[in-house]
Amino acid sequence: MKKRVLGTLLTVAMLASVLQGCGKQGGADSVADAGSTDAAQETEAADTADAGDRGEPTLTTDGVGYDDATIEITWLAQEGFDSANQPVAEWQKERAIKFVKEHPEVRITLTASGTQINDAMAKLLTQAANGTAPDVACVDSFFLPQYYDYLQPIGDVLEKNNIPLDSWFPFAQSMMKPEDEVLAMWYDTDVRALYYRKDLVETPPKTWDELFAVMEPLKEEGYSFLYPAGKNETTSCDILPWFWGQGGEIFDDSGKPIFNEGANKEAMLNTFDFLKKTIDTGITPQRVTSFMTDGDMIEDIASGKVAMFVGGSWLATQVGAVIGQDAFNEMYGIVDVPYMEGGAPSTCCGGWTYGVFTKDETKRELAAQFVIDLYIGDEGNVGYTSASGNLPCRETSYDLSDRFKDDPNALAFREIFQNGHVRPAKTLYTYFSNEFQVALADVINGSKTPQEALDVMAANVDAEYAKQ
Amino acid sequence: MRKDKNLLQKISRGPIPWLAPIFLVLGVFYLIPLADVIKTSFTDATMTNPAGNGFTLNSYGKIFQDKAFGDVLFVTFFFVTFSVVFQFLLGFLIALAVNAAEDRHMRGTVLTRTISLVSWAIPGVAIGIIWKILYAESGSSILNYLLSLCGADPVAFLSDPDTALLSTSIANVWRGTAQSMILLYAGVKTVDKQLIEAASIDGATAVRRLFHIIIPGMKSVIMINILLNIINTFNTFDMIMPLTGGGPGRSTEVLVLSVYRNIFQQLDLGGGCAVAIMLLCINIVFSIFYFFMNREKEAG
Repeated sequence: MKKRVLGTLLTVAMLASVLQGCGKQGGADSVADAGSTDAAQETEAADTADAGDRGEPTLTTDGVGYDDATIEITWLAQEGFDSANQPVAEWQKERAIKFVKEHPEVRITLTASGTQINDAMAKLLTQAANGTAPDVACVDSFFLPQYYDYLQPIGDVLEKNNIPLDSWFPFAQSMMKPEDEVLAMWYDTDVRALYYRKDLVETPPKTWDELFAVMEPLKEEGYSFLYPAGKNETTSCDILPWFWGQGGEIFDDSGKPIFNEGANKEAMLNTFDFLKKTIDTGITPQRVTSFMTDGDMIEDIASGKVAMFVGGSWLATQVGAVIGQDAFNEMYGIVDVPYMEGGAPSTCCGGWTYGVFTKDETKRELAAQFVIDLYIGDEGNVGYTSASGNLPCRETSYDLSDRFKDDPNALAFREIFQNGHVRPAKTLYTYFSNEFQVALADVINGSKTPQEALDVMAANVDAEYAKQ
Repeated sequence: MRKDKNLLQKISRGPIPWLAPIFLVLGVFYLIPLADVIKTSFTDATMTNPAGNGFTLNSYGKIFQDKAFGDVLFVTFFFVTFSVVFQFLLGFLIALAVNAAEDRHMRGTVLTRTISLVSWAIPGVAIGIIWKILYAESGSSILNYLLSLCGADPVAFLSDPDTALLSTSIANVWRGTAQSMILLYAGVKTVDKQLIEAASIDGATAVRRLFHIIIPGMKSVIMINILLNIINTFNTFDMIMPLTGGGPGRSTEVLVLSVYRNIFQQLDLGGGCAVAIMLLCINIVFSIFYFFMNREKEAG
């Protein structure tokens, strides 16, 4: 009797596993890459069939791969497979599984970098210097220049995938390819813009004078113009475009600070004067020095008494989440940050890149291909940025998805990206940025005149430069 | 052979087997990293060159050449002094009030103690965020709304450099009062009640009883409490970071924040470690005081 029960159970278990295998094969087929070439489809079909024979790879929060995989690729990502950001977690899982099915010899081991960006980047830099960095890792574009010495070229893998460098926005190209080799792949980005209330501002201001002219009557009705000026890198990102728009430069090619010389000095003083004027005229409250991030402005924006504000592109969705995305799209327009008369529009771009650290030739190619599949290729770039809600850094991606083609905000940002600047790739920049934030607060709070604030800032930065 | 056996027996009966694990843990997780930080502080190491280029005193020299370091020291000492004084006074007041209420068999003493303890259980980061919401300066801010009900003008709690340091210190007082209250409440309980009652019968006023019986009776607890508060406040980082980030300007940048800025923003390992060692020295001085106070208490 016992034997008969055992036999029945075994039969049922075997049938179940066979049916499960069929289901998995079907599932694998369903994620076939529709955008691939015929040859690639054939290869993929063969790989998928092979993967079907092998069954599903083992997926854990620490990685994905078959148990008998012979190559391990360590991967530092912004988000893990167990991320609270479900769409991103699902996208990464789906694409990583697809990758290991196509490359069954590879096992991907995942670590998430976490939300403390400075800490994570500092740790990664130490690892890179010690030769213990993950094979492939996400790197904040702000820190990218610090990693150039440790990153491996990946231009050949991009070429194999028919991904030209000029498919990226201009600002990203020089950062990705600092000299002769492409060293990083920029996968999402952000940009600073002027948001204005369409019901209050008929024609958005292009220049500072126009900004004051537009705000003057609105101020009387209790409306304000906001920007963050707290102690945070956000402040530098949001305010430096006013300096760059006048042609200002912070460092020369050798890394020597030149922001206090000649035309640059004038541009810096103009920027400080402009900020002071926003406070003195009352269009901006002094409390902007307590806004450490763009998100700190949302409470004011949601209160309905902000006519215009300068902030990152993510505010379109963050404010949209508070007041309703449709309401936001109807209420707000997005244009270039106003610039000084005689200057030109300018903005600051950020975002994240991927770099390959492994010097092992096989792993280098596989790691680069992995990133391309997940984040960079046409499907990857559109899919990932759609999941994350961020903006693609490849301009060509904007034409590939209705999400970008039909989104007025994405279209506006696409235009603004053309005037994109990145923060200088100099070691002293972080010191400068900190001093810049201190100087801005001093000017806005009235504890120093623009000239005094610039003098102190320049003295400190010069002293730090002299020590290096 | 027999000698070896005797030696083993001697060791097994002594304190070594009991102390070895704790020395191992302290050595691996505290002393080795500490030695590494001390070593790094005497180099010009950076994140891209963690080994540095040999011995140098430049990291310490840079601290004293830094024109902003004086501001950081002033901010730190104001923050610590204000916090410690008011954490002690408020903690003592609550401890005395709870003790007096218990003596009178009043209800709600447990609830009062529990509520006071809540702030102790909240992580520093959360406290920073809570106070940031309270201090918000927009139209919908909480504290400014309450002030407006009293007819007062809005206060720039965090955006004015002069008030920002005071606001940050007040938030830290709120955070540390609970610990003071717990220690001082325990201290008050150790004071001989018969002595207080006798003084009361002899006609001593409440103030005289406080200054001549209660405070002298718990002197060592008070000192330990103050020293612990000083050490904790010197090391406060988690609350200030989300509250002000050290700003506006440098108005709330304390020493620990300076360490963070040096290492994680300017990638200057040597400089950051040098500031950390200076902070460690300050903490060691107060820890030595604490050690002697504790010994005196135990002896007493």
